[in-house]
Amino acid sequence: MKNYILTLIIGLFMLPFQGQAQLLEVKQTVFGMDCAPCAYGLEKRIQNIDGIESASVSLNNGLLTANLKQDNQLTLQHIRKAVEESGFKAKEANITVAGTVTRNKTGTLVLETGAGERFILEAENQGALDDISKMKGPFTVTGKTEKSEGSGTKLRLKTVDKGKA
Amino acid sequence: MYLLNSMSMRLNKILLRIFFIVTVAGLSLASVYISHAQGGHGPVFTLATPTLGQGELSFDAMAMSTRQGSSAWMLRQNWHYGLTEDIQLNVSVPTPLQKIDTPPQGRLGTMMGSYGDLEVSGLFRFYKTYPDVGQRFESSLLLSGSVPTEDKRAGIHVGPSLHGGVVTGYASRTFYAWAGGGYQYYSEQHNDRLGDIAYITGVIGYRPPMFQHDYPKPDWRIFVESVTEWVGDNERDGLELRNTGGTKSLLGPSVLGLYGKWGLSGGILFPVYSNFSGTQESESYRLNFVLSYWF
Repeated sequence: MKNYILTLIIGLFMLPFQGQAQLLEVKQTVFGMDCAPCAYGLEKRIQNIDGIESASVSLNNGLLTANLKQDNQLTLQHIRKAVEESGFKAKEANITVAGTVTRNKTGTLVLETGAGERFILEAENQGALDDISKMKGPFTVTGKTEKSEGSGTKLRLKTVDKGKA
Repeated sequence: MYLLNSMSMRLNKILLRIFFIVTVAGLSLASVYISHAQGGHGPVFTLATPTLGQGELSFDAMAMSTRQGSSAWMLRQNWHYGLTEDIQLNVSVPTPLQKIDTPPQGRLGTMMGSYGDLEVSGLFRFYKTYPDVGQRFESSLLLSGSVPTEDKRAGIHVGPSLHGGVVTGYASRTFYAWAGGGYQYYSEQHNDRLGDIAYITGVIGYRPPMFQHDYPKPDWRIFVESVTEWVGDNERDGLELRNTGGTKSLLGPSVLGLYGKWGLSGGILFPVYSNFSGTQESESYRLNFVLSYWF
């Protein structure tokens, strides 16, 4: 009985964290940013977004690096929109994201974050996708994403870890 | 020897004024302490395309001088606000320090009002494309309305004016180039009217490799700027005045330094061509220093 109560209590504590998997790091390539005030404006805009732990900008590499708080509800689209509002173009991004993986109606693997953002998983090696589909539970993946489509953002996988980061 | 002393005294005077103006500008900036981001990060005299990001605010304190017979000095406070990433609103307020009777007719800095005019403007970036990291091709439209801060200029009643300009160009981490042109129409005031101004501008810029350090290190670039103006004849009591109006081209260097949210730029233009109606004093130079802050 004691064990049941203990399991129930642990389960209740774990409940709020289910589905809270999220975007953890974004390395966003930015086109069109040419000067120090441009970098300053973008860095400040990103740092002011709720859920951002830290942000830095490299002018020479055209790269925005954002580390996100563990409990953030941010989406990659939110960060890309902020880049466009600064007057620049958000191109490809390398991201680390945690979420749950499901297979959609067409059989494609989709990773969904706690914020409801969906990433359509792609891999050079089909075997990697097969392996993921056989496993259960949350995953933390890194990958490269370019543009969003109606059903989600395509994410080309680089690494896959079972469980949350 | 006398000539040398005289030149040295004049130089000292100019340096003293610059010091005074920059100090005043710095103090006026220090009194403002709202804090948020990006605006005047282009050339000093010529049209340029960049607009602020959405919701961003910047301020320029500008010290300007021109000499036509004698020297005129003024301060300008320019506020810029990004309504969207493609629409920037600007207010430019002049504060004359040393006036002259017959100031040169022209837009001393093309992105702001003419000598003595308070100007409100909108800069609309209507075309943009981003070929690569740090690169932009873009085109912008500048529309503005001005009211004079004085009743008369060169003995002529000054009326409100309307201005429109268009500029296109390229910006990158190494090279910059913008070309544009515009027209300023002066309305009639007490049967007088200042001559309209048509102008074209061109600028090329370069950031040497030694200044291509990454943010947040200082960022310097140099420009060569040129302005050509066609100024119409002034009218008094409905009659066109002789010895007013004409064409002039000016050319000169400028430099822009950026460090985080601060910018410092300065430049000087010298006349390289002039064709004035009748007999007129020619403009000797245009001098401009700008201290910018991005909130």
